[in-house]
Amino acid sequence: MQNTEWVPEKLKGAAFFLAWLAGLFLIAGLAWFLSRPVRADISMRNINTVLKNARELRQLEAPLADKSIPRLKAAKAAQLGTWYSLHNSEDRAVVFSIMTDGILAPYLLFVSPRGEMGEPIPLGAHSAQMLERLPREVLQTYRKRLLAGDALLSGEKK
Amino acid sequence: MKNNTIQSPIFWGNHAPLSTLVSAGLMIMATSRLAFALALTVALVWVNMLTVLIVSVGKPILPKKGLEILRVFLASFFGSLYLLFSYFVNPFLAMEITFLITLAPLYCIGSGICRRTADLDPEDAVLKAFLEALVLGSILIALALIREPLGFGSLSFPGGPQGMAVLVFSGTLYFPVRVVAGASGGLLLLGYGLSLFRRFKARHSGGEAKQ
Repeated sequence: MQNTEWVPEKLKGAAFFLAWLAGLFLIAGLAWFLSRPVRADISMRNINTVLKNARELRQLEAPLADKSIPRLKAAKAAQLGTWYSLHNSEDRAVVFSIMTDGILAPYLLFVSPRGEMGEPIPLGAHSAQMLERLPREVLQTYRKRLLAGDALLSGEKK
Repeated sequence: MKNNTIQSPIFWGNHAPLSTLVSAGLMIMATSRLAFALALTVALVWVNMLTVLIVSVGKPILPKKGLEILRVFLASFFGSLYLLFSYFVNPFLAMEITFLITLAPLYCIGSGICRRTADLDPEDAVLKAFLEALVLGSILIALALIREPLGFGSLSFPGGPQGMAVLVFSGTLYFPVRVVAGASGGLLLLGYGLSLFRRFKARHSGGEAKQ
């Protein structure tokens, strides 16, 4: 009789524990998933403000992954940064970050339809101060990888 | 179950931030800038207080088995909520310190605050959690106040479209010492901080013994 009571008690404990974990995952997951469009919008607005302050006429329009690009290609290209289409230009923009000493420094690069890249524009005040301290080789490596991402989006093999 | 005692001194005790070194990573990474240290102090207070509050208030409805694991998940949950709110308020700063915020729950669990406050009243438990997070936060801010002016030649505060407002010190005789801004500078300061801490701790425990 004792044994039969013990098993449901143990199962009840495990189920209770799993319910707590599932609840926490569910709340956090829903909060992050449902707020994604709002977060993307806030980020884009902030980036556009920074571009305006830097007297850059080009402005971000929308994330490129939302448009007519195959999902697999977009996912591969997004491994290093988020790609955006522009309001008043044929160019693309990519927002990426470089990690130094545990801090992620965000930058933006414009890429022309022919695959030419501009200079990185620092998005944060910290990124601006870090840009002059970054070794050129690190930036070069990031540029090469971003160019590979751009080639994927353009459908060209470079 | 009234227990008003906060047994171990929060700055010199056995669980003080410099005594356990659970937070060594934070002290090296988050102190390069004042804005990072301030934002992380709020994160530490938020995660510590809410985790301890839920653990002590929800004692009757928390599972007995697997409670340690559940505390880890609770702390991570509150850390993730803080990061989410930060993205709404200040996306660039949130982006920059994402990795640091993920370390706040680790500090909360590593310091053992939930275990140590298990027998206290909820008010005392939350107060202790708040004070412990504040002590670590004060150390981070103090180190940042040394490192940022020396390493970057500036002082930063959270806010503004670029994530932080930066006051740059200018002058012909002033130039930043770059090594202080890097991880090596953080380690150097941490070493000095530790030796000072040991000296004062020895003096403090000597005074207590005399009494």
